[in-house]
Amino acid sequence: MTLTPQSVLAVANIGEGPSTAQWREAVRLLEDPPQLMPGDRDGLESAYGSLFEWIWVLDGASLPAGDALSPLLATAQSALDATPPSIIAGMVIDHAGAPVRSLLAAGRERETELVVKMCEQRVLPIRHASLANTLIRRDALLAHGLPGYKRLGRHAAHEWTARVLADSAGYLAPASFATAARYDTSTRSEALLDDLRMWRTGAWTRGDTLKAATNAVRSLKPSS
Amino acid sequence: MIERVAGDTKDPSAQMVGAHPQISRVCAIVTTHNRKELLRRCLTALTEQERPVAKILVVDNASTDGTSEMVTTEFPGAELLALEENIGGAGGFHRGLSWAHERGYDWFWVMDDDTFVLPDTLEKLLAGADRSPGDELPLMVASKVCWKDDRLHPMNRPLPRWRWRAELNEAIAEGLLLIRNATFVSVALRREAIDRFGLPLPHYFLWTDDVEFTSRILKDNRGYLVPESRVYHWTAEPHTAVTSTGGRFYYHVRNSLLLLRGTSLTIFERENYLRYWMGTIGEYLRVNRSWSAAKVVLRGVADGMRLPVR
Repeated sequence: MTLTPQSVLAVANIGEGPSTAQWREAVRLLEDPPQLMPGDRDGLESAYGSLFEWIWVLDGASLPAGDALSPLLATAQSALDATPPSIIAGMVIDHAGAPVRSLLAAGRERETELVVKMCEQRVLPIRHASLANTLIRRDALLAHGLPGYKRLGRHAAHEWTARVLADSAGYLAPASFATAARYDTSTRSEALLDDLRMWRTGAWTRGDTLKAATNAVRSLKPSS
Repeated sequence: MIERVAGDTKDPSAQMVGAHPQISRVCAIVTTHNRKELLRRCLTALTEQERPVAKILVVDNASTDGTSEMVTTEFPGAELLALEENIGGAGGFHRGLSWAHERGYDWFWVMDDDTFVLPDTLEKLLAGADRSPGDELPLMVASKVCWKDDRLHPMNRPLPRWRWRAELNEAIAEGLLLIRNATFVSVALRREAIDRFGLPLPHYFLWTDDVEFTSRILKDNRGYLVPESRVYHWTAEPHTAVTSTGGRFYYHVRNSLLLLRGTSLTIFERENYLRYWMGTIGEYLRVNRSWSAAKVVLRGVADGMRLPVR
C-alpha cells in the first residue's frame, strides 16, 4: 500500500514544549499536508486513540520545511530491510541552517555492514533519536507506551526511541528538515546527567551502556 | 557530471571533473612483492578505468618472481620503481607517494597488489569527492572494500566518525560515509594531504601503517567512504590480523603500539584502540596456544616500546 501524507497523523510532541497555533499552521501549509487531530488535541498521546499507522511527531516549536514529510515517507516505505522500520527521523536545524546537536539521531555503531549498505541509499540506521521531526509507527507507541517525560525530562525522547529501536529498525532520512524555533542548548553536565538517567531505564543493552559511559567521559573533555 | 580535458597536452588522460577543477591528474600507486599474477590482474583493471589515470606507478619490493619483467613487457605505460630490498608495504607506499608527489600529481590512488578495481571505481570515487559537503575537496576518499562474497572485507571495514554526528549526517545526505581512517586498498589522497601531513612511516614495514597515516590526516579533517566505488580485496580468506597466517601478527602488535604511542589518535581514540589491540592479542593467544605465539606477542610489545614513534 502506498503511504501518502494523508495517511499520516501529525502531532506535536508536547512533552518537549507547548504546541502552538504557529505549528498547526505550518503543518497545514505543507505542500502535501498530513492529518491533524481536531480541536487543540496536538499531543503525542492523542495518537494513541487514532487509527493512523504512522505518526509524524514534531516538536511543538519545530516548523517543518514544505517537503519535510516526503523523504520520511519514502524511507518508511522503501524496502530497506526485511523488517519494516519503526522510526524514521529527520533533521532539525536552527535558523542559521546548522543541525541542532542535542536533537541529532545516533547511528548504529556496531552494524558497519548495514551502515555502509544504507549509506548508498542516503539513510543512516539509527539507535536513538529525538522526537522533533520523526515519523513513528503507531505499533511502537502501543507496545512501548508514551515517552516518560515526567521521569526523564527532555531526554525522554531519546530513551523511548532507544527502547523501541533495541529490537526494531530505524533510520535517519537527512533530506527531511524542520527548523527549531527554540532549541535545547544543553550543557555538558546536563548531557551527562541525561546519560546517567538513561542507564537506569533499561532501554540500553550492555553494549549501549558501555558506549554511553565512554561518551559521557569523553564529553568532559573541553571542546576545541 | 561535466568532464573536460586539462591543459596538460602531454597527458591526454588528465581530466578535470565537476565543479572542483582541482581534481585533475591521478597517479595510481601499487605496491607489490612476489605476487605477479595478482599484480597482473590489478594492473589490467587499472588500465581499463572509464576515468583513466594519468600514471600507474608500480613499486616492486625486490620481487624474485619476475614481477619487474612482467610490468615492463606487459604494461609499458606503467612506471616501475624497482627497489633493491624489500622495505615492506609501508616503505613501498612511502617511496611511491614521495615519487608521485615530486612529479606534481594532484591525487594519489593507493592500493595493494591484491586489490581488484572495477571499471568505474575511480570515476565514482572522484565523483564522491566532488559531491562531498563543504567548499573544499576532502583530503581523502576511500572505496568500499569487499571480499569475494561481496561482504565488507574484515581487514578493511571502515570506521565511521560517530562523534562528529552533525557532519556524519551531512555526509549521509550526500550518500557518503564520514570516516576516521582508511586502509591502503583503494584510497585516493589529495596532494594537499601529503603537503600538510607528510608520508606514511616506512619503519612500520607492514600493517597499521595505513591506519596511522590516514588517522594522522583525518585527525581534524574530513574524509569519506564512497560506497558505490567498490573494489575487491582478493585475499584467499577473509582474514583479520588475528586469523592471518605466518608471523605477521608481530607487526600488528608492534605497530599498534607505535600507533598508540604516537599522536595520530586522540586520547579517547587511543583508549578505544588499546581495548581493540588487547582484544586481538587475547584472541590470538587463545587461538594459538603455544610458546611461539607468546614469543611473537612479547617481541612485538618489546619492539613497539623500543622503536621510535616516527
